[in-house]
Amino acid sequence: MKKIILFLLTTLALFGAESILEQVDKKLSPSSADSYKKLINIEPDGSKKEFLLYQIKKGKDKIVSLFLQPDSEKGRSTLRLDENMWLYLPDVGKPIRITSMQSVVGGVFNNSDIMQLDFSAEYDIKSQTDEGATIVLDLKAKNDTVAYDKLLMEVDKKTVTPTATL
Amino acid sequence: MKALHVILFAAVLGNAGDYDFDLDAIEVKPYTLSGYLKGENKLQGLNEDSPLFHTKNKESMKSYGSEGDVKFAYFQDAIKLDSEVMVNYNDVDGEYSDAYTIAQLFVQYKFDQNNLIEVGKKAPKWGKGYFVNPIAFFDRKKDPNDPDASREGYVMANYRYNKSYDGDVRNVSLDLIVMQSNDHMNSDFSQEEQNHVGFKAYFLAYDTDIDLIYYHRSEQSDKIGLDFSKNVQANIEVHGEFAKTLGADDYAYLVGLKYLTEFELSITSEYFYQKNQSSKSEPFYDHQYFMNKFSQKEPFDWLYGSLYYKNIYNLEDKSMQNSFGATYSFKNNMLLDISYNMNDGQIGSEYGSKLVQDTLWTKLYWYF
Repeated sequence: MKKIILFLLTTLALFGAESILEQVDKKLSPSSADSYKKLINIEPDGSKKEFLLYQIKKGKDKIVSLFLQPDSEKGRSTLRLDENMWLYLPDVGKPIRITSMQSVVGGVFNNSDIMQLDFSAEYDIKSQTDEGATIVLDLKAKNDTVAYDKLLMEVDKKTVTPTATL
Repeated sequence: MKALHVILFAAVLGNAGDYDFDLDAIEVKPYTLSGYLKGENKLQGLNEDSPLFHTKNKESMKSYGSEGDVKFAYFQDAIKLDSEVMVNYNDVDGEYSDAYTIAQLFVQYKFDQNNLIEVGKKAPKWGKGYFVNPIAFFDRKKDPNDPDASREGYVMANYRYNKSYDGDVRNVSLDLIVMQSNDHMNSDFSQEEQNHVGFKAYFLAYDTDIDLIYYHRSEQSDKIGLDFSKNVQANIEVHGEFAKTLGADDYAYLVGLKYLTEFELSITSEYFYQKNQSSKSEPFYDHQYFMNKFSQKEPFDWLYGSLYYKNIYNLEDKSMQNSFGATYSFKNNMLLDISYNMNDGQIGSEYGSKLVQDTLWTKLYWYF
């Protein structure tokens, strides 16, 4: 009887509680928000290239980004709706369908870095390891449309925010 | 990982050096202004077998050109004024010419978030193909040397209804275009003085872009068209277009794909077929073509550089055009593009008849 009660309580705890990944998502950005983001690309030789973009997010599956700087990228925008992604180039004058692995500007980050859906929408927690002040999450992509198949995320226990992602 | 990198997201204004924001860049303005200046140089070898060779009668020639493109838009509540102006100066083998073009100038009025109307000169840019668009009934032909370049529009009125849904059909958009061609307006659009009405229904259904088109002309046969675009995998996109003149044995279609490899080689391949040849003065006038573009981003860790190769192959007369090129993006909003382009084919073939046999082409852009 005690074993059955313990099993039921554990099950409730697992399914009822918010996963640590969902907590991280809430901390990183609210479910709907607009923000300005600055991306700094630092190359091995120390040189930098900066990109400024304006981003609007609604719910878990809708994101639009508009590049404001540098001038060579100004007016370029991307729209994500679930697994669909489009790029708008001012010279082309119409949206074209792109892949999540494609980079719409120079540099090492790709569209999924800019237009990331919530981690909990794209990844399952394969395992988690307690490292004292942090928890290391071993994440596996839910399907092959996700840009990165695997991620290792180090989460600070106190702030519930990622301190490193590999 | 080919480069050590750090990606920083700074969503809060601050005064911490790298994390500073240019307040001028994020200030909401009632207008947008952007564009580029381009300078270019062509060193061209001429084709002795070309029927046009007698106009030059020499082995090579040089050309210089400059181009300015300015886009300006002004917003006031529900109204937007959108414009694009292009200026060209060219010196082709000592012959000077210039051109001033209002590529686009139209007013947009938004009735509400679902309905808007645009009136003025614009280019709708219908179609999913990269090199050619059989269903672009209201657009000028693309330049095969630069399919992404801006194109001059036509004077028209365009009403649009747009609505998003949840479910398998995520978005529906309906476009109605009304246009007239006569001696005073859109005279280069149609040889007939007539009215043109185009209707396009767009659907985002099952993660696929789908367009259905009906084009009515008051003095000529109507046309229908459809296109689609879909990511069959995260790194593979397929697309196609089909256009047909009703009541006539006249149709054209295009199928293509885009593929991105793990090492960021981007491949665009398209096959184009048309039942009837068009005018020889137009690009892609023959029955069938196979077109490819390969673009490698930052090869050999060459930061902000790329290499590309383009091939356009006329399957009918086996002639072709090849382009090998490289681009480099400088930090001060400048882009350098150097390419070597060759036309090959037998005497009398499309590319074998071109006056220019090969070109070393240098282009320098400055964006603002």
